[in-house]
Amino acid sequence: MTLLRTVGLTKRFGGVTAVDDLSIELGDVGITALIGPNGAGKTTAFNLLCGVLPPSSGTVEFRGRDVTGQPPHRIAVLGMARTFQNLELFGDMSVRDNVMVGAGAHLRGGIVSAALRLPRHRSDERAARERSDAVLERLGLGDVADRPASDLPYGLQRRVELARALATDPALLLLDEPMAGLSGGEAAEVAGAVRAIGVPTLIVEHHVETVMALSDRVLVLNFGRLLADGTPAEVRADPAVVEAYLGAEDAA
Amino acid sequence: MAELLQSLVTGLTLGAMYAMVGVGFVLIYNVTGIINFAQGEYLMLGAMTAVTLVAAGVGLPLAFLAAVGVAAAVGGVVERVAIRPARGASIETLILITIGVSITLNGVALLVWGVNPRRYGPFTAGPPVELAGAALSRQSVWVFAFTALVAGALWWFLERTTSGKAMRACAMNPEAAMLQGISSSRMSLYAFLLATGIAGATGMVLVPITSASYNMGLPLALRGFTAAVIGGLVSPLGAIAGGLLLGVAEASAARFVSSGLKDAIAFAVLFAVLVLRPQGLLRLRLASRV
Amino acid sequence: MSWPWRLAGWALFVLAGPALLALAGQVPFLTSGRLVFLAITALAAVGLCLIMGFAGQVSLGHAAFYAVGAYASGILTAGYGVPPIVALLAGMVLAGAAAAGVARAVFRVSGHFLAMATLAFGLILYYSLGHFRTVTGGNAGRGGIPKLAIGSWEATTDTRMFLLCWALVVLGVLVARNVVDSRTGRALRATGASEVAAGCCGVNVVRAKVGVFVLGALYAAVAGSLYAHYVTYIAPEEFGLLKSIQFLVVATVGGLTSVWGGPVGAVVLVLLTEASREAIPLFVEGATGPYELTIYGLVLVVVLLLFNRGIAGGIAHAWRARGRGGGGDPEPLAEDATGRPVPREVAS
Repeated sequence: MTLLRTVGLTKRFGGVTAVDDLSIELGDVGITALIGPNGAGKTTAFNLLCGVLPPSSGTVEFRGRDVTGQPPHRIAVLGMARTFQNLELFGDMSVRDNVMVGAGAHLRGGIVSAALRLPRHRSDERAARERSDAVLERLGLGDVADRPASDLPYGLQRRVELARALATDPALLLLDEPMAGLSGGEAAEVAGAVRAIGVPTLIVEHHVETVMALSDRVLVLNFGRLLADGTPAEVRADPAVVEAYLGAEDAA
Repeated sequence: MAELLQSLVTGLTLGAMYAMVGVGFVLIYNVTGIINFAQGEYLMLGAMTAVTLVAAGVGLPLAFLAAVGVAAAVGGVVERVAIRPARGASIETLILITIGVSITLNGVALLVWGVNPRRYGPFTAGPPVELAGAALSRQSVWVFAFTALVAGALWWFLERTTSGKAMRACAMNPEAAMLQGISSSRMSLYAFLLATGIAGATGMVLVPITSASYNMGLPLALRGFTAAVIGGLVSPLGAIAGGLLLGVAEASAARFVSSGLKDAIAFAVLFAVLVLRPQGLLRLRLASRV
Repeated sequence: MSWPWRLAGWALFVLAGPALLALAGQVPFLTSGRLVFLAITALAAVGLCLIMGFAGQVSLGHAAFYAVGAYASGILTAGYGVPPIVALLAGMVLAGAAAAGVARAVFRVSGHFLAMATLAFGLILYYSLGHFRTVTGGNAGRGGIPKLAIGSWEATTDTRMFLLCWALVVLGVLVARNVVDSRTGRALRATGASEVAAGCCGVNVVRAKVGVFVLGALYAAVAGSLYAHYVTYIAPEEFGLLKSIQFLVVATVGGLTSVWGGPVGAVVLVLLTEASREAIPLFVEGATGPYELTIYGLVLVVVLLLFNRGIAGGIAHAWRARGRGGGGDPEPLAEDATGRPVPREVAS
């Protein structure tokens, strides 16, 4: 079943075309890697998919619905969650509260029920709390749940962001360089967690080897255009890719 | 026709005032990223200092220098004591700090000088100048001359001197400037000194027209800010053009629409520009950034 | 915090009102009249804390909604004989509607532009109050506003009025606490921390910002109505930029990120200004004068530079940090007055 489909997705900033005529399709299984040299347009592509940026042209279809140009909160409620290249935690909120923001994505209680402590608020809180606690346990964050998120060491902060995204009960997870700045051991932990989670995932990463080992499918971007699309082995062998990206890695 | 011309003349005079205040906003904003809410207070300090000295028998030129000196000195102290320590803070905190400075200066002025406005006469005595049926007060001529002088001097400073170019570099690209050995902290101080000095001078020149009082700063600051925003907050020339535009608009509205609402209209203009077109109404490429 | 402690805290808060009254009886510089203004300011400041501390939006025009409440109450009760409670509710509705309209416009921009736009809005209203004479009484204002009455009970004395106002402050903080400690509150705080991330977590960021702006305006409107009924006379002078700034200073000193910021800030500032009015002449020969401005300004700057979470915010932070000694933890990021993390100083 097609989970995500883009047709001719393009984003121009003044004279620069960051994403150029991107047409891809993701099914509802597996881990897909999005790789490419710096400036290839990977984060911009993410921003287009989840609604943070409106496209200059082209369409995005998620779970069968046209979400082109929709604001991010609508797409999030539909089931797309993401993490950020430069952490965007809610720093002064506790770890648990961060995750509960995610857990609140599908709840409906508003200001009135909160202010007056109506039953709807109570049931919302219980639901959010249960879901958050489950996710926190799953990612080993139970011990630090009450600490302010900005207090934690970097590696744990990355995990909090992942937990927050998971708490939204996503159908598709977009991870933007979740291993950036992590040691080898920590990165392996994240890879393990992503695999164990089992949610269809689109992951941007520079740790090429890790990504190759982790993913079922690889998309290669260069200058905003899709350069290759296949299994890790296929992409690795593709001469155009080798030249543009992996070749530079070998030479370096 | 004469009415139109008179509105224009009045408007341009007002506009020149706003322009000078606006220039200060642009200078500080471009180098430090801060909107100096207290900008008007330095104008007030210059005016009050000059008035006090003139009343004590000091001559106008010396009073002018004192006005600039006092305003710039206070500006420098404020920058070091209140702004610099907070450099890493959020925009919101910095806004609040400059507001705090503004109130403090206001409060001190009130305690020192009291409530009553003071003034001295125009720099040159005499009847208004006739210009095709419109009257231009002598002091207004001085204001225009002053504006032109400041504009010219600023242009020369920013385009032709090393320090000025350093300031522009800092405004355009702080990291690159730092790599070139330009200290952003020193540039910040210079920007404050320059902007507050200009404000002090402006205050001194305006006294014959507006009188000096402890609370004269805020209305001018708000108009000056509007001028700067209209000009795109990008260059002093933009602020000047913006100021003149605003002055004429205000004078016209006062004469042809309603003078009671003139203040509300001025702020409605500000609101509209801020919300609808924060990048400004003018796209002047004539003067480069800062 | 476990519930016996919580209950004790609330009880203390409630009792602080009568305690202040008792204090006013003993201390010459604190009158019960002053206390009424304290409570009114505190109430408006609670709303401002919600807007500024939790959603991170600067509002320099809070007095505008204060004015709407005051004028609605004043005009409806004095001019048309409407019962005070109904007029108060009408004021809230009007202020809420105005806030919603302004918010939609103002939140298209951020940072300086947002702050200045709220400032401009406040001033537009202020000058309009002076201009539309037939409705508002112009710059001279209007009088003859009855004292606040709920049914047959009338707030005829300062003491009664203060107790009523304090009860509303307590209620206001309770409601604020309820909102902050909820899905809505978390969404608000998330919006203040990172709009992008909040959006991607399903938070309708625009609706959150508009919503909190409206909520804050409601507090200001109620405060305004109380003011009108207390002073029985309203004129534009009370509702200018200086008032917005007073609310701002009270909220900031008290602590923008704390629901208690309003009352704490109000108490501190009133005590400071009243005490200094007595104390300064003792040190400085013949010094008299309006110190308020200078004090407010200095306190604001000092608090922002040194105690950047404000008083209540600082206490709350210390409380949360108490269990956290012990090595190995990286130094937490500092925060500024609005609760935003401040990046570590880069050597320059």
